[in-house]
Amino acid sequence: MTTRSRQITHDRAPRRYVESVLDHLVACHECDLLHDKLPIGVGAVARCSRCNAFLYSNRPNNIDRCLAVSLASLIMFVVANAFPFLAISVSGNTQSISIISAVFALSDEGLWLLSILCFGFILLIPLLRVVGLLYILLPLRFDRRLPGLELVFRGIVALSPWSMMEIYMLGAIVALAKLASMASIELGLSFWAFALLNLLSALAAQMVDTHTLWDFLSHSRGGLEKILAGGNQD
Amino acid sequence: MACPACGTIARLLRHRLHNPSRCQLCFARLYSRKPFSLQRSWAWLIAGVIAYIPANLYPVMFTTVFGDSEPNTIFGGIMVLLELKSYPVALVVFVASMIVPILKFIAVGYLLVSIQRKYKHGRYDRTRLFRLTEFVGRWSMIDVFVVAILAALVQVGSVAQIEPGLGVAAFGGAVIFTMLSAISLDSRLIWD
Repeated sequence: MTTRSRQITHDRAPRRYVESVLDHLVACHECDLLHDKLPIGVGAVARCSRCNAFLYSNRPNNIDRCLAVSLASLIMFVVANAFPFLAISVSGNTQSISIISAVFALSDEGLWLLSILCFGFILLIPLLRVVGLLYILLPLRFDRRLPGLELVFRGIVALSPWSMMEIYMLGAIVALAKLASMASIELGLSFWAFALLNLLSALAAQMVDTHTLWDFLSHSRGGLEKILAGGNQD
Repeated sequence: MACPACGTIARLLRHRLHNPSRCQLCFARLYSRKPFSLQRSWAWLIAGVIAYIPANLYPVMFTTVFGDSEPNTIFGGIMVLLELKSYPVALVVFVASMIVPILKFIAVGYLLVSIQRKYKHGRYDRTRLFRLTEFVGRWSMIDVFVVAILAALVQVGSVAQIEPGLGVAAFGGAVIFTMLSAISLDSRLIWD
């Protein structure tokens, strides 16, 4: 095993490997208990018997739905950033902002680090996740794989706690509640697009079952029938 | 052991810290447990507690109405919401920016101590506590976004202006540090 891993470290992982026994085991990512990977019914979810953590699920036609939601997210992302987000008017003076204005408001006051981080949290990281998912799923739909797929998918999973669009949305609502009594407020087109984008990303989070996707990825070519049929039917 | 990124099971013979094996499927580094999990988690937690102090002492923003500038702290912001009678919003902000950070300090600290003392009881409950802290932690960022949005929006010439203060940077730091603390903490250590 050691020799094998070392060899793989040097010449990059072969796409297809079958480790008959190990392939049928799944370890809980939260408490490390090993389970036999049992086939489960469509729509069912397998959980750890010890700590109840999510193990895997079986969702039919996962990839088409994921693709649809990802593409819709990308469109909404563009719309949300192209139009005014909010506008207020106080005694004849109006001020209209877009989503990114909040980032500039921080950098204008010299809070550079925070401003860069916020830019990442509300724009860059959510965008990277959507684009990354499309980078994996779109070629996979046509039974192709682009290079660096594993790295991209690992990145998507690792970045997920740092995508904070829904928190920004709630922040906007709180800000509006604070201003409601002293100014007249107008919600821009981008506000609604952003709300929709949040719904879509919540939907995508529901759909992307990392375990199932890794399963698909490990069965490289010819796995399309399996993907379309859905889930873990080993 | 399982690959931390994709869950593929691999057998690990020797634990090599500086030249770790790689997962055969996704090429992630393989560690049986996150390296230096407890040390890192403690370090981020302490950094978070330290950053939380100036976050509450310094104003998060300055409101200028007709030339009169007034500093606002996080707690002051909640009081303003209460005066405006927007109770649900006040509750959201109070929970997200006061209760969650403090409970998170206590929860992560307790988990770390319980792992180091090798407590055997309540493992399932502690795992649930960990899941909860991991889930709610990011929501504290709401206050940072509120300040940023207000500062961008309220720039109506001489009538009213809002500028972000140093407190918001400290607060953002406290939230990010505690998030890192929870991420560094390997929940599997609870079960070892």
